[in-house]
Amino acid sequence: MSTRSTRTNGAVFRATTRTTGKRDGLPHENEDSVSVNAEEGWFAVSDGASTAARSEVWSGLLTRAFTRGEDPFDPVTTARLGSEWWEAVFAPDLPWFAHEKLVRGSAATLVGLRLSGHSYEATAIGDSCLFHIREGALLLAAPLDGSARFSRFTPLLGTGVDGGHAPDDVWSGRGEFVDGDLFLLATDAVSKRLLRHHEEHGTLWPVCDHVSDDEVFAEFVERERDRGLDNDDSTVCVVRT
Amino acid sequence: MYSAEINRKQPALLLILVDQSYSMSEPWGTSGQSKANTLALAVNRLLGNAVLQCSKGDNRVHDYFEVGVVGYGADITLALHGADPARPVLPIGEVARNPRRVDQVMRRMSDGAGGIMEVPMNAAVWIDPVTNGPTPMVEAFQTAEKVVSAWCHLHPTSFPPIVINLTDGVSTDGDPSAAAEAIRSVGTDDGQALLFNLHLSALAAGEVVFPSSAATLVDRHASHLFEMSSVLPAQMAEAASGLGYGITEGARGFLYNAQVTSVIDFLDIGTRAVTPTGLKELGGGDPTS
Repeated sequence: MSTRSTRTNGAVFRATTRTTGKRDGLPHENEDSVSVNAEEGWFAVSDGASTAARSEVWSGLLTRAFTRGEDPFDPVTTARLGSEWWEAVFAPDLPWFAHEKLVRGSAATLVGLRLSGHSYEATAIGDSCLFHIREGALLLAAPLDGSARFSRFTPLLGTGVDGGHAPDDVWSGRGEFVDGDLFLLATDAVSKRLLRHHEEHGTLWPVCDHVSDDEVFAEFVERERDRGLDNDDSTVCVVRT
Repeated sequence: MYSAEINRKQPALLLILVDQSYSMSEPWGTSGQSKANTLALAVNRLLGNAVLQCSKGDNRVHDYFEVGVVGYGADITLALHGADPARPVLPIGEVARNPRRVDQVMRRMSDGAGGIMEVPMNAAVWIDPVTNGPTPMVEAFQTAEKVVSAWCHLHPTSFPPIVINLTDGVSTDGDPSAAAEAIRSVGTDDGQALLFNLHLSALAAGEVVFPSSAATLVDRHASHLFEMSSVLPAQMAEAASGLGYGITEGARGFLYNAQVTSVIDFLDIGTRAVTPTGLKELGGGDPTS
């Protein structure tokens, strides 16, 4: 994908995004999305629900909305994005099953990060996670902080009027960082693997060292699938400060 | 065992056997509908849900599993449009694109403001009710065994086939035990084929669901069907338990004097067992993996 550097409010960020699909999938079937607003220091990653309709479109709408400065959890914004999703995916000549599937809506996880000066704000729903790392030490993992907390079911932000989630499902956090800190936003397979490695070895799983280009990342993910990484779309946004 | 990953390269198989004997024209429970009518609705609903599980919301339907429907009554028929003896089971994508017709029905839904509204929906129809002739269960099982054996040969690493027999009566062409055993003796590297028997009753009482022994069964026919039914694999037992059924160790995929809701629940469990997102979905929201 890309690596971009920027200077915002006195801090320098370098963001790298990478994504690769499931082992048995085609590239266009990857339902994860990632978006970066390098000028503002805003970053988002989303994982479209595999059983939901056109969830790659929905995850893209959510990440782009976040990095435009919008709040996808605001009910008015959610409803508008839901309308945009419908306009993007509906066509009158779709087969009956596609129409019925679309009527049921879409859903996705979301994790977003905004940096300003040496402060950060983050928000998330579901099992896409934010990690704050300093000199190899894990300072924060959220909204899930342990590998056992991952399951096949997770809260999601849906296309419905109310987003289909409870208020408690949305996590928010804020804090400070120092130059040299690293933030990682990642979808669930990568997040779970990183946490499990940390639990077992007390060290960081080296995913951030394998994002120099798409091929390096894809090869790393493929190797790790033989070592326990779940066969799932895998997406990261690495923000180096 | 019973843990193989299900994906398009390694699909699963769901084979439905539908009793189409004359007695299926009798009413089922208190619904006022015949057993054949209600069962056709249930099987169409199963197939429709299966298609939607594999639909991505556009022209794509991921072929996570293959499905076949065998009707048995006056004849043994392959009921899905496009199926024939050379291709008795079809990928779910082909099933999606070839219903016999798509009916427009009204669905009652919440209007989001505390009220109920009716909205039109598409209901695909693959199976129409048929009631004619005797109950040749032996021949139906033998047909199923051939299908299952050939399929396992082609898919040695797949999740084992699931065969669901829906009947209201007693076999009229002999004892089906050996034919049932033949189905359950074939399998894949991941386990033996699963045979589940769902017996429908015109009575509104005496339902037995997922028994773990024949001790509670009242007649020889029920015991016979019980003995022919596979033990539920752990994840299916868990899913049944999640739907509120009392499941004990060794519970079998067997319903006797079953009511409509139990049959629909069981068909849901059977269908979702053969999709990648699996059975836990019965208890929660959308998985993201």
